[in-house]
Amino acid sequence: MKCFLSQFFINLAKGLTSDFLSIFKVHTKKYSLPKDADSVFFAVAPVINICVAMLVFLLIPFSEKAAFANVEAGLFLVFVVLCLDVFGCIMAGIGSNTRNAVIGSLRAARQIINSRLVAFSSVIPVVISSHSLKFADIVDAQRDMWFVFPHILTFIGFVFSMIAFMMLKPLNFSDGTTEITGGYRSEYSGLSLMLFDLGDILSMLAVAAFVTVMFLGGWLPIGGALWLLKIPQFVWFVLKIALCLVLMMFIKYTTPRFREDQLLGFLWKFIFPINVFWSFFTAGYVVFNG
Amino acid sequence: MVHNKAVSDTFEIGVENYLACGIKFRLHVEGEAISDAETYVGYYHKGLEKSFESKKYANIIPYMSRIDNSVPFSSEYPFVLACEYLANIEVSKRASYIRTVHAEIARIINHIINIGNICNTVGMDNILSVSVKLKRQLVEIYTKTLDVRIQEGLFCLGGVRFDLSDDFVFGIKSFLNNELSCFLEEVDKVVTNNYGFKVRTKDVGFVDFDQAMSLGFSGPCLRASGCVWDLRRKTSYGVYADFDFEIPVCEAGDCYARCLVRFEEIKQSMAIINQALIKIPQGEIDVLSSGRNNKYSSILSSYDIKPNDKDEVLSCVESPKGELGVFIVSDGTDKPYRCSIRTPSLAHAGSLNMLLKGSFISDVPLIVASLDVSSANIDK
Repeated sequence: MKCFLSQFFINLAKGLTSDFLSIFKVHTKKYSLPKDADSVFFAVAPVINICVAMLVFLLIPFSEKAAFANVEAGLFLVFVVLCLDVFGCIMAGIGSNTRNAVIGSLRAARQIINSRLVAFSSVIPVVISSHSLKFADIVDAQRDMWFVFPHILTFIGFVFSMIAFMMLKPLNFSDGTTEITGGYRSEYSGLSLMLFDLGDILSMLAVAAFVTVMFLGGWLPIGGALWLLKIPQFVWFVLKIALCLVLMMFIKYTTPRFREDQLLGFLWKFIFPINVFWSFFTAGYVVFNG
Repeated sequence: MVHNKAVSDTFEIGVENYLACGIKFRLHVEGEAISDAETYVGYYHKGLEKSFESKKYANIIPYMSRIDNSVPFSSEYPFVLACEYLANIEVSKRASYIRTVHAEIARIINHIINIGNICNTVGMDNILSVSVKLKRQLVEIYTKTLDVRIQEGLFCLGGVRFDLSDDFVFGIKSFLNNELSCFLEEVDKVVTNNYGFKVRTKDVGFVDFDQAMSLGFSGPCLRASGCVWDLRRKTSYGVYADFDFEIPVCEAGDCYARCLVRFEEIKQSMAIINQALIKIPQGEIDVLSSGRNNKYSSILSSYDIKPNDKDEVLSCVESPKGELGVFIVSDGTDKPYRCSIRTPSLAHAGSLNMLLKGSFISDVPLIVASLDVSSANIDK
């Protein structure tokens, strides 16, 4: 799908150093402010995007013991934090105060509303099965079977709606590169643009970590052999994140950017009814059998 | 208080945006839906037609290749044909075959890049990077074997400048059989049979048969609306009568149909090139400069060419973007009295006002890319 060889494979020494040199070079770029811009909003916006993605990693535990904050209602808190992501986009749009930027930020606000309902509804079966909102308990409930197998229908909806939720690549209407030339980030350059890109990568990782904890059994090893248990839980977690990233890359390079109304129709008319049906089905199963 | 600029009801997609192809769009929008659209062209006007009146016939050929900057051979073709009619030059069979090979390679380049562009507008920019890589490989074949890059006036009055070398034939054959076949297979999987791509591009930019005829559509855009019309078959200019190929037609008339027609045309062009490389006869490549084997001999020999009497001629070819026509009025001197060029992109750009009305802002680049509009082709 992607045919470019990275510099790393062409020349090892240059490939290793080029990233660091690029980071150095980006600091030399001039910080430019549009004419009618609000300087505070303009400067703060990219930082918010990064902070949100990092906060998710603060809340999601990497292993049984390694967790920065293993709160009781972790799932709820993660969704609250993820909703803050849109404020960065809106601040960037209002701060730049140019037409494309404002349209991009309005699209971002719309997209959060589009995808939030579906993203929330697709974790309800998981919560019902595990009887908890705490990540440690959710992972513990997957010891017999990962939730991806019984809840495969909502898993697909969850991955798709989370990509829309975080405005990641196939569904990035807010920075539609072709028609509104970058959307809310069209006025940014140099370091602040790099921060936006970094925020994208971090939010992709955050989504992968979230999916891993909810559906792929978190830090639990694949298989029950004794030597597998000796591998640190952290390693399993990272491996599963990588698996999720491969899945998301596959979606990224094979799915076109839908129109907003098409995405809305797909999410609300197709995925949301499935989620609701599956939630009731799971609830009934838990009441009568578990 | 921050003044919100998006409240105003017009939205402009500028000239600079490379997907706008040198057209300025002023869109009257209600939310994201376009209620009315105005298009402005003329930002890349070069004044070619007027400047031709002060140039000799052989000097005009390199300027003609600037009409379609990505695929120059096809735009040289109609002018060369017209001049040869005026001066009563009979081109050898081998030269015609070589011209056909170049013209079909140009069609392949254009359609590859266009499919990549359509994918890019819907967010699949990885396909564009693959197609640009393929184009670069073709240019490298030209550079290594014919010692020209892509825009060097391969056609000349009375034939072509370079004979096909064995290296060139080998390079083109291996390109068609390996890289291009792989690309077509990949596109078949990832693009034309992709459910998401179909959802995104079907029923967008719809043009029915009558509209396409009245708007002056030609080429793949006309064939995507269900009209079986191809100048290669209808007039058989050059040696197209010798080849066995099909005219792909689609009834749907939307962006997906146009993409599909181009995809099938690549396969037909491959077939034509393969037949031409087998059937190609021996003979002279340039009837005017026979004997001399200099790189510039063909230009020198055709420099003082002049038509015998007052005459006028219209010659049309099926260029990758559509029908490209050249109309020359000669007054018997060595310079044309008047030269007019009919480009396909101008007719296609004229339909944009109608097509964009009722669509969405997100559809604008997709519709423009699917019509295969090029800035250099609009403003000549």
